[in-house]
Amino acid sequence: MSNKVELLSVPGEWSLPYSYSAGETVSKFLVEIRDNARIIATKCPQCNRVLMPPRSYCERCFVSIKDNWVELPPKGTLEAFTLVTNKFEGLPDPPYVICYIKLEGADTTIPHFLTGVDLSDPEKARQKIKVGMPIRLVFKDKKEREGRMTDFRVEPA
Amino acid sequence: MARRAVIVGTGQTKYATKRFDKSAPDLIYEATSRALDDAELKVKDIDAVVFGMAPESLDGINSMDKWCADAAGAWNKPFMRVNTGGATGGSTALAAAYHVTSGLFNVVLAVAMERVGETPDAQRVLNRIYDPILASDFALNIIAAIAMETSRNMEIYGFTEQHMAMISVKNHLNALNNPYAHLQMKITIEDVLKSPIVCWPLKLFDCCPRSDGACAVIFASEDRAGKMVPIPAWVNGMAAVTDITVPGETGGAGWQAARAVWKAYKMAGIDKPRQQIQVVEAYSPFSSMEMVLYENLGFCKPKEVAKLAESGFGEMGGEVPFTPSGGVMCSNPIGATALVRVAEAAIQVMGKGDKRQVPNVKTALATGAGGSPGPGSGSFNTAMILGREPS
Repeated sequence: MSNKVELLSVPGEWSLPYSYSAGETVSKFLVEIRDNARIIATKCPQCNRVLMPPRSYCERCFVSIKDNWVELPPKGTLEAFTLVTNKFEGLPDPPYVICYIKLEGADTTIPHFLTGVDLSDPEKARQKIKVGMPIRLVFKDKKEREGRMTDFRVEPA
Repeated sequence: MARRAVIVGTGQTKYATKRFDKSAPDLIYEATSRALDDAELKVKDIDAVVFGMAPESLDGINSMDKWCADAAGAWNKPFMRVNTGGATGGSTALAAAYHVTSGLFNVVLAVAMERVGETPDAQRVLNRIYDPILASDFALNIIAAIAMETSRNMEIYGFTEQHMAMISVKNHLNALNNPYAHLQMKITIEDVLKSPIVCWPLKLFDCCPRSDGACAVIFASEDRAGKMVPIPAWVNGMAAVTDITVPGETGGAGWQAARAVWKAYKMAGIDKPRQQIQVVEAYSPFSSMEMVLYENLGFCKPKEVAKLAESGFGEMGGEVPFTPSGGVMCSNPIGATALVRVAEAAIQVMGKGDKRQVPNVKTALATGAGGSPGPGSGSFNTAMILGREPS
């Protein structure tokens, strides 16, 4: 018998459907976006932090904050960004910009795509985008909103 | 600590994109056997096994621990699996050390494995670690997330892509001295700056590879210290800090890692890290992550990271070498990666580093970080401080 072994591999694939439960707090937040184009967040009465996206509890004070809602304006600042020029399998075709934004009055950030910037020349586009720059939310028309974070766009203010 | 733990042996496989020659249990068996040989122990000497593996869809097998437990020498013994994402290996080491310091077990094996090469694009898998309702619509993955953190940290810490390239060149050079390293190539600053942009500001050579491989580290109680091997590595400090998965607040990357490290410093009696630590095995899959650690781990004052990179502070022969192994930038078997940091720190303390050995190491630091990073937030962070003598 030869010492050289022919090395084999067996193919496999995962494709598993799920339905992710948003729960009461995040559902209320998403319904408010869908029905009224308004952003609401929860505020901890003990440490006064405003959590956006909202959570039902404050992880630091460890108290329930599920009934303590505040409204936030559809504007804020860009806290971080990346201009993606590489194609990742199963993810959108580049180029696109992902960012973290902080709405006025919030203490935490949310991820989103940054739109409204011409990306035809990535190098030029990148120089137009600055950490700390003001941004605004632009809601889709009511009939197109479906209770998702994609019901609004984020663009430079 | 109820009693001290020491490291008496380490074992690693060669890391590569795809280890066609080994099944997953084979990789674990190889790392475990090498650690047993290094410690001059037999499998019967191991009292318990802690096994680390990160998200299962990287490897494509659910509950892989059941397929792999026997290859880790766990037959007829206590066994548990640990998963804290990129910090898995650090948490695995901590769990094994806790077993020993609790007084319940004398000799405990920490072993971790990942096969990132089994799926064609790990970032597609890592997109699924984010909140499926609020976050994963936005094409997040680890490279994009660290790129965002970096865009922010360049402002906060005052460094440029050129400085990041210096770190990358240094780590790739170090990997040439490490027979286990996955990427082994000499590159220049210009090569890094001209490599394709993946997610600005990260370019290809600012980023780690995806690797298959396994690592094992054997912990023993202090009364066994001198009996097993001539020079064990004493666990003088260990800590972990958890942050939330919703990113936000202040600070940049490395800020949370620093909280774990400073807790471990306190346990080890370290208040001047630059004077008291001779080598750091930093968990930095991306060049920009190592930059911020210089400041956050107390090796320089605020806004001095760029100056430190320029001075060659972290190079072999520099004041405090960072990642003589080439680090995560040159080998990243995800669930095992932070355990490799512990193994490499132990190797430095035990004087077994051969071509990558830093002279006169009395104290070494190993860090770990994982979870879903965002601006100023990583989910899980670990630190372990190893010493030639008990502190």
